[in-house]
Amino acid sequence: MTPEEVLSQKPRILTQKQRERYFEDGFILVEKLLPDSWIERLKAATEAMVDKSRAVTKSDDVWDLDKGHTAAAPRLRRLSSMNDHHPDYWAYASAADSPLPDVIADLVGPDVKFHQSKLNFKWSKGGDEVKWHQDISFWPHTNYSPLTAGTYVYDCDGAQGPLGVLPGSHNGPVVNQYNDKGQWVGCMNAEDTAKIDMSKVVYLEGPAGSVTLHNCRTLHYSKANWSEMPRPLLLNVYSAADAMPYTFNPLKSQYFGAIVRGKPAKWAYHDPRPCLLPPDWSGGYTSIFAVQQEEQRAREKPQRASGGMM
Amino acid sequence: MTPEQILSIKPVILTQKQRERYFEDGHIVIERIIPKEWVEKLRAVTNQMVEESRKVSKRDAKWDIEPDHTVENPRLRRLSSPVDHHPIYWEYASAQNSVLPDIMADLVGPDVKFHHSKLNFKWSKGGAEVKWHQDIPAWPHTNYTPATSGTYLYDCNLAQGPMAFIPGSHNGPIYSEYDDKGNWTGCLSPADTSKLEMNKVIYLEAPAGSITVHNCRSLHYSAPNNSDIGRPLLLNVYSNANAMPYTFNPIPSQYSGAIVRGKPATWAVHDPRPCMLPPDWSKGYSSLFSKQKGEDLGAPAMGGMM
Repeated sequence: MTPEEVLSQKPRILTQKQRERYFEDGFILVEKLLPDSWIERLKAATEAMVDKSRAVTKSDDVWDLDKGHTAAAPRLRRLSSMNDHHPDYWAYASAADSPLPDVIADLVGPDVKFHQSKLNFKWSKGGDEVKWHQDISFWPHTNYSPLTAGTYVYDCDGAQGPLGVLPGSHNGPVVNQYNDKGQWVGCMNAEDTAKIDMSKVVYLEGPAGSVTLHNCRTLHYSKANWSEMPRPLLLNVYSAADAMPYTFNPLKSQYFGAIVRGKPAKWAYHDPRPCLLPPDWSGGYTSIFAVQQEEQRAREKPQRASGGMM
Repeated sequence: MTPEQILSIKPVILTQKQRERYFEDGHIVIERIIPKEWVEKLRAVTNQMVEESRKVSKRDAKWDIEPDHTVENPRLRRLSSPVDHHPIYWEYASAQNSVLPDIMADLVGPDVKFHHSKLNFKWSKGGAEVKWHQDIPAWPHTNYTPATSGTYLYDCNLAQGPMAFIPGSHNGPIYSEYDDKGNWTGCLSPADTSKLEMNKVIYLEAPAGSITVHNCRSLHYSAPNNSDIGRPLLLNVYSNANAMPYTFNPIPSQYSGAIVRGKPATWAVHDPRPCMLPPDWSKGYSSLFSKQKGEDLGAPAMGGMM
């Protein structure tokens, strides 16, 4: 659906003005979308998961551990596919009594498909920076309806490294996220980054229960968190049902492709704008943090995705 | 790449006129393009596969057999993914000493990606009809460069049920291949079929060693083979490297996605024309023959595998 077609449908939760802003700027912040009952459930689930992480000693498909992680003092970067690891997360991402899928329907159209989820912790006193990047070349789809919802489980202000977004960048080009050697870095190169007009950047600070929504082409980053407070951000990725992903999904989930509102598509919709392909992740994946920080660039010979899985 | 961009690159095997015909009509036949030794090699390996099929007693992921198939008298509909079952088939589909990938490069652009293969036997005395259909709804890609090459291992005349096309149909709409109840049938509805202009249909009769190539949107069918001679047709599907498939491959292969000429794509190209989605084949696929005969049914794909 085009933005005009989406906007012609009656919204469920958002105002028409909020929707128009999303299509104009490529993002919106919905302050305190969640009632306290949902915030408490998500906090409890997150505390339970952090407790579980105490037994984890090295990063794997589920946990991405931060430097200095111990059983006594957990330090986490990411819980991958959190929706598969606690039922309250999936309830929040999909259930009829959750406001989140309705907000997504207001932005992608009434037929909403779940793609993936992750919980980025951005731990206190040094939680990682995420460099400037666009999401879509991590997981290309046949159109650009995909978007990411970020839910602040705790208050997030400037000190915790909130999401920083560049308005209107979703209507610009898809940027290169490979380095000079052709290796995937998952972020813009230094030269392109230097050209970003930082005076235009909007920082999405919000109290617990606020939700950020950014389009898959929107340029965004977040600073390191040097404060005393962690900044756990629940990220859920959705698209219109008619957007078909065509590369290997590195964050496997039993819920991939689940229709959380409306009905499955009969036709796939293709947006004519081309998309940069990620590496072929079918043989393994390392998280954005590890890649951006050059911890793992094992591939001597870069292997682009070819769609061999399909 | 657009047809104009492809045509601007010097062809390897085809004439410019042949390429123009492909883009205009949506199909071409290139007579006797395969050297005799290749035809002999493909025949020998196919005979060997038929021998192996004698011990097959029911349809599976590899073999689709006719109901009266027996040990003494094999009757085959399809060998799925022959490239995975004998190295000669893959050599033919990919090697530097095979002309097939070069022909494909002339039609899809210099970077050629393999998608899947099958060997349709259309056995003598009753080999099944393939009803009118387009290929692309069975395996949608982000653009419409995918094309299927068919290699005739033996002479194919009208009596054997050659491939038949409606010229220009690749520029027309994508037709539904679901029935009224929403079940996938793999072919056009009787109502849509009755509207096709049969006087325009081109039958690609050709001698052994000829290749047909048709675009993934081209409408085509083939009549049953009631003659005394079989019509084994070796089908190999390719695309430009920048076309990305987005549903589960109904005939997956260890070679799906292999680049057989040129290099992998850095960018995926999206053609704005939408594509009808097939059922979700991740839990199993049964061949077009059984679908068209109403032997199995299914529900639309959603990209959950990716």
